[in-house]
Amino acid sequence: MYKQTEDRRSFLKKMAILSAVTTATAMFPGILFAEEQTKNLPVGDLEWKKAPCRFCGVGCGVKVGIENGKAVAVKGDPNSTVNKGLCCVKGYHAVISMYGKDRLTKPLVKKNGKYVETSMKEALDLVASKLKETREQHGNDSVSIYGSGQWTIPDGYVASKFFKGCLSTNNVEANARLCMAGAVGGFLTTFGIDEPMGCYEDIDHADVFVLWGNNMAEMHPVLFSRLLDQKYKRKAVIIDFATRTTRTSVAANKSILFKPQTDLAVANAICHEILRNGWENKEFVSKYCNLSKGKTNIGYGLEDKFKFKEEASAINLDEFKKFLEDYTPEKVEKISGVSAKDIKYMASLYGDPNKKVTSFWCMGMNQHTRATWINNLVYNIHLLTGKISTPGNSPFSLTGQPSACGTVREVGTLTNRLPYGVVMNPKHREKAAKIWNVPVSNIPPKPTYHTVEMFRALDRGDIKFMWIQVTNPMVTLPNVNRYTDAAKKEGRFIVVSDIYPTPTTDIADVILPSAMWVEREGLFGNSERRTQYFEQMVNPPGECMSDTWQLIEVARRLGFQEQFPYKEETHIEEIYNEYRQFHNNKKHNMAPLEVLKEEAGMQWPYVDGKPTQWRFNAKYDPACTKEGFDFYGKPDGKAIIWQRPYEAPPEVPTEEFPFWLNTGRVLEHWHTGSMTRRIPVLNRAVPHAYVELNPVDAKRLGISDGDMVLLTSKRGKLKMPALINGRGLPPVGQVFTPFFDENMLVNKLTLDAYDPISKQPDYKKCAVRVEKA
Amino acid sequence: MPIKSYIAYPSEGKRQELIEALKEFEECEVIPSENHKIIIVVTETDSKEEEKVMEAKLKEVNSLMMLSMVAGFDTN
Amino acid sequence: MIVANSLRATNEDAYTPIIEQVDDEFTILPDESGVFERAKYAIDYENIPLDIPGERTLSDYYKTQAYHGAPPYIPHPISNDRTIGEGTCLQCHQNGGYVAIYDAYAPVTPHPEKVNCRQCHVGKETNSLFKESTYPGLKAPKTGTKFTVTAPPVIPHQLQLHENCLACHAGPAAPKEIRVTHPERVNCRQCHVVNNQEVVPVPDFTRKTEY
Repeated sequence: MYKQTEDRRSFLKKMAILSAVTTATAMFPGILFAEEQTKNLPVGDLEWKKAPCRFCGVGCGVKVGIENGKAVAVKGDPNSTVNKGLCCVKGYHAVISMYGKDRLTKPLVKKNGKYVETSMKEALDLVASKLKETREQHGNDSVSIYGSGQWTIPDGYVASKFFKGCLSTNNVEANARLCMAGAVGGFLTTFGIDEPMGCYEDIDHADVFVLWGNNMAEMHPVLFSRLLDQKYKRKAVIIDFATRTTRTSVAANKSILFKPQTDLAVANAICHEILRNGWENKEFVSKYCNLSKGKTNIGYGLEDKFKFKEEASAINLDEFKKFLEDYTPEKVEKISGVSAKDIKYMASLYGDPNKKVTSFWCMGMNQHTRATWINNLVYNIHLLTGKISTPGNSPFSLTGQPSACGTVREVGTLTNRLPYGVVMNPKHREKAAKIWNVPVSNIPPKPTYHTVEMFRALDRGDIKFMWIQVTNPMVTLPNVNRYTDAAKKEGRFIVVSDIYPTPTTDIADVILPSAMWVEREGLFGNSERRTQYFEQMVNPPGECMSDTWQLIEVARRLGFQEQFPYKEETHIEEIYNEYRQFHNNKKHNMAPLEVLKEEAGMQWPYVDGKPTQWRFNAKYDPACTKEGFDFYGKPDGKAIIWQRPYEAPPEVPTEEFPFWLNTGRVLEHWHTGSMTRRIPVLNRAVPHAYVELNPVDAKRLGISDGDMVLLTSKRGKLKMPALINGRGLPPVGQVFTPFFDENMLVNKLTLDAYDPISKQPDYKKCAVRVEKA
Repeated sequence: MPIKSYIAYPSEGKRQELIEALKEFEECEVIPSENHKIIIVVTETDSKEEEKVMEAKLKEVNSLMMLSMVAGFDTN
Repeated sequence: MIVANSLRATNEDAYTPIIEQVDDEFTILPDESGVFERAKYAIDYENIPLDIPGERTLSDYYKTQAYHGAPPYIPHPISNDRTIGEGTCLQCHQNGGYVAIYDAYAPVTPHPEKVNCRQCHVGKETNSLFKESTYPGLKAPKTGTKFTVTAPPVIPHQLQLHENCLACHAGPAAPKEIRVTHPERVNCRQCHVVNNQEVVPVPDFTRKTEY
């Protein structure tokens, strides 16, 4: 007993010291105490290891605290230039997402409508034999893999190598197609090369931030905190340009609301104003830009097997000015609801030669039936004013997933892409075949299905086998009812690798339990071209296996030992080194693994031991081959200013369906909530979805806060509680609902129309009826 | 048996004097900051009465400008 | 700061007109807008020197409430019993500051827009009771509830009329136990979420899965 009391006393004493140290540190940041006196304090028992956060595309550096083989705590990594020691509430609780009670720990195989536990070996045997059988009976393109921007770089790399290089099908897609394909479309058409030219450091230099349909306060809170820092310390100005009033609007210096889809018109009006006032940077435009126009009336991809081919032709500046005459602020005011004064104000910020302007956007512009166009148009503004590729001048498309850039965009896990280049290009295929150790004839030269079309092909029966890893399409696909029914059809075989049961595992024939995040080794790439490594810190539960290793196991069962010779202990390193060969050039070289193990991530192009912060600017980017700016994605080094008109969305409110429906996220939940809802503190904060209504509409419809509301679109019905005047406030005639809640699946209502160029669906606009339930 | 931790502020220019004075108390553990004037003091006494006596004695230390309690525990 | 709906500028509608525009719309702000209300003082808060002798404690504050969440009574003599709002109360309670006669700092109201102060906040003329009461009260939640050792503590109280975090959690009048160490981080709810179990207990997320 005495011993126990002694222990307790010494523990309490340590706690008392700890409290005092914590308080002192809070009062006097940077204060130090002699190490021997503080080292045995309770928190000191944890072992801290660095990793990128598991959730969004910001890519915060975190330190994960490990105790007795379990990950128990998270703190921000002060060495990370991304977040400088700060996280958001999801990051701080990220470790709890690994310990949900209903974690999948054993493979499950559906037999006579019931799931039966089996061993990993048997489950992988079954997957391999089904894959083989389906190919033999129905051809190479009857099998497919669907991953996500949560795939680590090695996951996506082996998936692409296996399906494209070995199984000879381009049926490789990822949910990033639903998320940032529009951004890719914009980068490729304007610059000929993907991913932002700038970096988060732009925040520390910019005088003005224009947020295009981007509720950063909730979706990218850590970056938004950096913006607010600049607002209060440096008097930087934040303009929130959005369709609904949010925390971001309230924190911004100015909130400007526009009607859905009219961002296209407003961006053109800003260009009109810039040119009318002669605010353009004439030297920059003539030296570094070309002008082009493309097809118009390009459709919405609503019908199966929809095809689109761009036809571009050069124009001159006078033709462009003539085109913009339709977009005077006064004319655009009528379409957009944005006052001519506000349009001129925004133009004056972009046009002021003494102001550095950074534009941020994410799903508002990218989930858009004209996603490529609106991306082009915002680049137009930055190109006309020459405000690009210099510190503080940055058009910046953010991402929502931890490795949307690193895996989907850089490894190229999309039907048309290869780790380097596109499948259509014979040289790119040759390069891939050589590194992959497969005959070049293995890689088919034609893309097959983009995401929406891939699930339509599953519905039609053109695809019979689908392997879904790290994503939840039965919650996230637009018009999801069609695709849930498709997956359940006779003769379809669905494999799902996940960590928790979800509506997607519900439609699986085989469920493979995956190891997540720091239960395995891996790499993510964030929005600013930063590649980050994490080691395995804890053991995965039960038979959980990393997605990389699941793919390797199945590939070997199909006879591809030679292409997948990796050792279990070193496979991540071997795969990364193999992958790096694709980017072995000044435009995209990636840091070696030893560097990534030491540093809180490194930005590519990583040349001569140095990361590149601003691409296309000869001052910072060693890949530039000429003075000033070199947009080397295009053969002549010139970026393209695109003439793109305003075109209406495919579905607008009518008398029968009089409201706009907008969908999105909330700060507390990430993606479909399959992880964050299993974190009690987050679930208690936002336990379910809701529909935000304007109080004026609510009053007219007799709906009070918390009342059940029935939403109806042409595609489905959904009941959910009303939130009136909560964290978001849609204008009259619009409603908003978060999509994370599988019990209130808003994607039953959304429309599967997409941008014909990038194939990115639009989740932000469709028409619904709103009634009190 | 109360255990308490404090942040102590020395009087102007009397930091070292205060550290020495505090170390004289056998109930006190003293953790001076390495780069700041403040000092963490942890006290451990056997009873509330003893603690009162000690507190009274601490108040007599004239190099001590202020003592601000941070945490307190009682093992009983 | 302009938060008004920019649609005010135009009355013409490009689409099938959906619903008549109503003027009310323009005066409505999300009820959470208060989060950033005092953000403009964030840097000042960060630089304010500590004045430890004048500090309030959390128990001082709770003593002014009948139960957790009740409007505090006015613990000092009231200078003019006939006026309210800007003329009197807000002179000290809008922005706070040192009050020599009480040797204390005036707490900042989280809802300065509600100017009929005496509707909810009453004075105290006597300590004696008319009759004894058996009212049990409602205890304040524990402070510092964290889900991991390094996690940010949750918000254990309701936000109605209290959404302006810095009013109560920063500055010299803030009770020392709940004074924020980092007032310059103004997007408080980036890290601190509401876990207010006293109103509606939220069960942990469970999924009906028959595997």
